[in-house]
Amino acid sequence: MENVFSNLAMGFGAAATPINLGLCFIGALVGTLIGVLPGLGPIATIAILLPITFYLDPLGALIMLAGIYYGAQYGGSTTAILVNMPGETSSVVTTLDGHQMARKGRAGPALAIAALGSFFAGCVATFVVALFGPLLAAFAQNFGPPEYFALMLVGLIGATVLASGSVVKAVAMIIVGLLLGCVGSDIESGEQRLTFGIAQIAEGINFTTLAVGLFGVAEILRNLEKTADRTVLGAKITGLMPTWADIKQSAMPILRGTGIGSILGILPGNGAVLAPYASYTLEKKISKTPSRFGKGAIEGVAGPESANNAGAQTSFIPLLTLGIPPNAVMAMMVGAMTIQGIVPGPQVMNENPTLFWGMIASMWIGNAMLVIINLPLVGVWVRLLRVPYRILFPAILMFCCIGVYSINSSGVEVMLVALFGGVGYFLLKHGFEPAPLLLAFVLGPLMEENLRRSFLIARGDPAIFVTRPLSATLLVIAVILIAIVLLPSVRKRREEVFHEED
Amino acid sequence: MRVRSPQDMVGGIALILLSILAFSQIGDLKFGTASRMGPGYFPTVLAGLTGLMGLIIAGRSLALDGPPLDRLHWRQALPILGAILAFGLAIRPLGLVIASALLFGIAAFGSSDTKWRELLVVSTALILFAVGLFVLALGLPFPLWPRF
Repeated sequence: MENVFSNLAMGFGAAATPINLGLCFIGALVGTLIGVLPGLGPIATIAILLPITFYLDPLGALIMLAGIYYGAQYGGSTTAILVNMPGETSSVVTTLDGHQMARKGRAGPALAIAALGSFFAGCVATFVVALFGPLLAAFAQNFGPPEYFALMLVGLIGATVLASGSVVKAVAMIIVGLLLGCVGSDIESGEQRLTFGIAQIAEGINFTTLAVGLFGVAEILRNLEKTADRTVLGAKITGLMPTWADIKQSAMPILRGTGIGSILGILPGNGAVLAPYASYTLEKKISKTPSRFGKGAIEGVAGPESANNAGAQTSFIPLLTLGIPPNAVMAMMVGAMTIQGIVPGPQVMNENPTLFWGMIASMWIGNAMLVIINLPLVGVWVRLLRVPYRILFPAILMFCCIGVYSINSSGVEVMLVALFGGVGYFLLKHGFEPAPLLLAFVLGPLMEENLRRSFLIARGDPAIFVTRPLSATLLVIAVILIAIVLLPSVRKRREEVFHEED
Repeated sequence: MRVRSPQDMVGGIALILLSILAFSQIGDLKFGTASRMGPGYFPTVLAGLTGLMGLIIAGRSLALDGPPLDRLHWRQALPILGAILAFGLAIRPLGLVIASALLFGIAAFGSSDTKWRELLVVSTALILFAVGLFVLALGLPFPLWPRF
């Protein structure tokens, strides 16, 4: 326990340098910006900015990218409340009661409770990461290749369970992602695989190129289809401060939401997306007046917003301690660490303690900054929503191209973005989700390596995966996950949950 | 026999084609054995699974109802993808300024409500911003103008 505090103190020392504070602020600001704007998510943004991080030091780079991620969670709620449009998928639930509050002239308190709840959740989640991180990392020291393989398998299966839409299609996306991960030279023999003789992918498809195409460009194509007008609530936001009654009503939902979010965020396979749904359902269930929900109940904003932010924060745990990204954004962080020459995994904490603790400390700093960015400046963000898309998309497109070009100074790399953009558009149009593909693409080479090593250790005997207790346990979890998806009742429930998203 | 879920049918066929494409590239990569996997082991298994998933999804589309095909908006998509290709082709020989101008000019055809005068102002501002941020501030090694 004392260790945690001294480590956190060291982290604050590393994160509080002027340059890192500046990067944290930029990250939080950019995150809020893209969170507010529908149609540009954190995955695309981080992908676009990834090449620039090459010119920063590792800690600064990760601080900024992390800031974008949780900043987007804050920004997303602003759009949800004011425009009834989720800026991010994570704030879908907030539209239900948040927008109703805004229509009753209580936009101010809704925004304030969302921000304060998120801040509280962020603070608690930072501690959860600081407490559980080292424990899990120590535990992971016992992991051998079979355990890592099994763990990644659980993560991938979890990602299909939680993907919206068809499970079969999500599985297909994962397999395609793994296949794309094979492109490049073989780790052992160095032989070229699936490269079509293109020199630029001889070392593998560049992660940034793929992500920018699948998420950045495909998203632009989809947005250009609909010339949707955004109706920003005209009324002025008066009185940000919630009343005492608001705070009293929100306190317990915030606490419960934080708990739910923290737990779900740690699970492999993107549990964080479920957090706001779970919290909303719980609040509605235990409320004495469930009929108020959907008509502007403040608990329906406070709980899910806290859960959402807590989950976003604790989803860093699997990445920082096991080196295994639980979702596509965390896969992006793996990309950022790789650019910096850091191999994510349990060893990071020992070999690079300032990086680990500095990043955790920066989360708390970033959350504090976000309250300031979001509350007093809410008017600025509202005005930003009025910028028409025809002005926004050329800017996004330019950042995509320049970002990808700067990785290798290669024009061919930019042209590959067009290819992946087209592929991404095709996927969206046919009901395939690209997020599991990206996750599998990052995990693919790691899985192959660990599978090969496991078989090498066991001389080709697959029993190694079930005779080692840890990997056996993980495989059992994987089987249970599959069984859960196939259960008819769960299937129906799952469809209901994701249906609300559309 | 009637296709009841056209999206799945098209998606399934695409996966099968991808699998064939992958197999054609695997060629003579060594497969190896389980204890000593060759470079071809993982790709072969995955290409096979891709094809299998394609068959399942396409086959399922005959039995399960699904949404109709969503129209692909080529008029929007082609200019955007073309603009990116143009940027990739132009950046080396012509430099950042001209490549970006091409990007904006071509991409503008993808939006139905382009206002050309506004576009001129916005692109000039964006190019100045990009030069300032990436070349002057961050010092990335970008060619700015054509080299003769």
